[in-house]
Amino acid sequence: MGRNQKGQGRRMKRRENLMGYLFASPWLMGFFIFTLYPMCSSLYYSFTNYNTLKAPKWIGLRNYQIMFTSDPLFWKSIWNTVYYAVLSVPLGIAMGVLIALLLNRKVRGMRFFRTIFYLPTVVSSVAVSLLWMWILEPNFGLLNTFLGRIGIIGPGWLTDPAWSKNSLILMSLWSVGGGMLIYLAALQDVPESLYEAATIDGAGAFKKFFKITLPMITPTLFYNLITGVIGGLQVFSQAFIMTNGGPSYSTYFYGYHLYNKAFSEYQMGYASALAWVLLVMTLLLSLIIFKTSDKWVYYEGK
Amino acid sequence: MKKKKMVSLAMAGTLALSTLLTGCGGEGEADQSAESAGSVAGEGSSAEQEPEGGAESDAGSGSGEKVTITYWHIFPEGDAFKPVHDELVKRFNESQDEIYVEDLGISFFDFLSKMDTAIPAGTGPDVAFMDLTESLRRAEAGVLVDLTPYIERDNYDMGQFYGWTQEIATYNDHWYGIPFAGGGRFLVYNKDMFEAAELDPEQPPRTLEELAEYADKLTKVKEDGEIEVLGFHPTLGNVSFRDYVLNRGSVFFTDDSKPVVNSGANLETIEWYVEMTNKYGAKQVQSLQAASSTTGIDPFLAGFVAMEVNVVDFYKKLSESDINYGVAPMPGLKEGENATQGGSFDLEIFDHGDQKKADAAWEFLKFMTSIESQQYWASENKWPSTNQAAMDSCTEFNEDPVWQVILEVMAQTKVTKYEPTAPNWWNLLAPELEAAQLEQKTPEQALNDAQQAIETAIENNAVLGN
Repeated sequence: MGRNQKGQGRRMKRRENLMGYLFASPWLMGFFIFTLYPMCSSLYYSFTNYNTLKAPKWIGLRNYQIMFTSDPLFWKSIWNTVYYAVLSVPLGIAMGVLIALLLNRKVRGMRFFRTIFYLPTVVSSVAVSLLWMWILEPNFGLLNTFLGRIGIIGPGWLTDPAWSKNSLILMSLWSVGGGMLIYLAALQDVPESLYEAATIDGAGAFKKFFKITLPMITPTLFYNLITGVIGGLQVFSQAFIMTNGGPSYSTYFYGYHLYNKAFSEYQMGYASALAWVLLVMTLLLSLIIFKTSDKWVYYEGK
Repeated sequence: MKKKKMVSLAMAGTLALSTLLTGCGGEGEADQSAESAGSVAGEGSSAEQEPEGGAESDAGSGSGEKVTITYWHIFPEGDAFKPVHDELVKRFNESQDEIYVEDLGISFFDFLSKMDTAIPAGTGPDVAFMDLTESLRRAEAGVLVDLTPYIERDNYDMGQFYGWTQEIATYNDHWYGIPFAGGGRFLVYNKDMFEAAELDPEQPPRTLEELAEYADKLTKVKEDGEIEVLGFHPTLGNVSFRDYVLNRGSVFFTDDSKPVVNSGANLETIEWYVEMTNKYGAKQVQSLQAASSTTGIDPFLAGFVAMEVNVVDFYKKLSESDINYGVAPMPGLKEGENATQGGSFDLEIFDHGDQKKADAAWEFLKFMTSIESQQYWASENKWPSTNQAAMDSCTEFNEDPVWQVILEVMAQTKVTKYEPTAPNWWNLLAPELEAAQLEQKTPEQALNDAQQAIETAIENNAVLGN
């Protein structure tokens, strides 16, 4: 009887497994067909010369060789992308935390404000880009009109190479709502008792923020830093819609270079190679951030 | 003024001689085109078909079963040019009972990406309305049907098409597309603004020097520095640096495909280009460019510029506007010596390994590019056809001064050929031009950098085995 039960249990377990896979199969199929297969084929294409019309031709490492030795735009695009990521990610985090702190106060109508600040995140990046083109318009755009009122002659935000990258960074701050929401959740998780104790000990608001709030939300900061870096390195649509990578290559980001190679020059092989180099770079950066996380990320109960 | 009249009189005279007195477009043409359609179908009937596909083609035309071919073009529902285009397809389908063309209009902005994915997947149409300037890329890749055997078989006169279209439609002396519609660029000017500036509205600028002079007189700047009307700007309208280079008789590549982007003549051109760009302040113009590209509003039609260079098929929009406009050939270095870059669409047959369909598609191409179809297209859509014989023999054009200018422009149009070793050369040059316009680089530096970048691209392409 015991054995029988055991057999039955095993059968049930197998059936359960099967059911599990069955339920997961839509996702699994999607993953294999639309993620794993394209990834593998792009790795293969990165070793070929492929213009989408003719069959791909194996050329070994030549795409990579050209990329690192004789493609000046590769380096230019890396510089632009790194510049963008290095400025926009920390600024975005600071801004997100700041807004989350404001929205964490108990004020009437707070839900309304939270919705307002989150809203830009929901709008598609194309619509946001078009909107910002008008805000940043040099002659009669909202920003320069406002600056004009207070006696400042605003620059050609998107038309001046010295400003174009910064303008896109400024614009990226508009959609910190996504990060903000996560910080808000983290802030509400910080135990009230810690603040109470600190107040009794006579700590001021700044001290409380730096000694309690910030350490307590470091896991969230860590998460947002990782996703922010990955997103920052993939910056594309703003440059594609608003500046076409210009003026004179100043917003020519890595993603734009990749797009250009693939869809305007039809060098799919080269573009695939670019994509894999980006993946490796992203992995390395994430790894570095992970390694340092022991030093600054505080997990409760650890 | 007298001179111009004499020229047009002389042109009208020669046209009258060469014309078959067909007229074109208009009403009362239906009979005639039905007739001509009949004759086209007759030519293509089974009796005259040479073996080529052997048994296959016999089966195709003899069995009485209709061959259906698919045809993709850029005129979706609601497109201004669609009715005329549809009428041509309808006429073809009604002209014979062996072939049926099933057409699909796709918005121009989606068209290329749709084709780009459909071609390699083999799910594309049998015939497509394509950009002729890029056709060599497809010919090179072997996805197009070589039309040369058909042309030879039917003695189809390719000489009736403008020379510049012939230049870009052939690859290794083989034909891969039949030009359909296109043209170069002309100068459009606002006659009311001319009068306000005390310029003769019948006397547009003929040389680049005059152009600059007129631009000065036409430009109106408010006291606070805001530009009210811009006389002329080299980047507004539908025009690029390429036009100004061709206009001065210069080139970017030698005949054997060596880049000569930084040649002396091109340096002169870019110096002029940069000077004209920044003459009245760069910032307002940049924002205007951005605004007009997002909104699709043309600065000339909006009354912001007095003169601009635009493509000749801008005629339709001009004719529908309330602006009192005039047109003229692009002003040249010397009077009468001028050219602009031509662009054209063509009809291409995609190779799906089906001889029957390819044969049928060829009949459709012949119909669409015939004199009658091309005249109907041009006069109804105000979009020039690339069949020169059709354009020159259309008597209706004689009374229309705009068409007279267009005919003159069409004959002077030049092309920049597809460069297989550096297909992206323009993408490498454009940002350098921008840097020169922004005065980040001297014109000379900009051209040298572009030349360098293009040479590197050619080397890289060689490494890749392209």
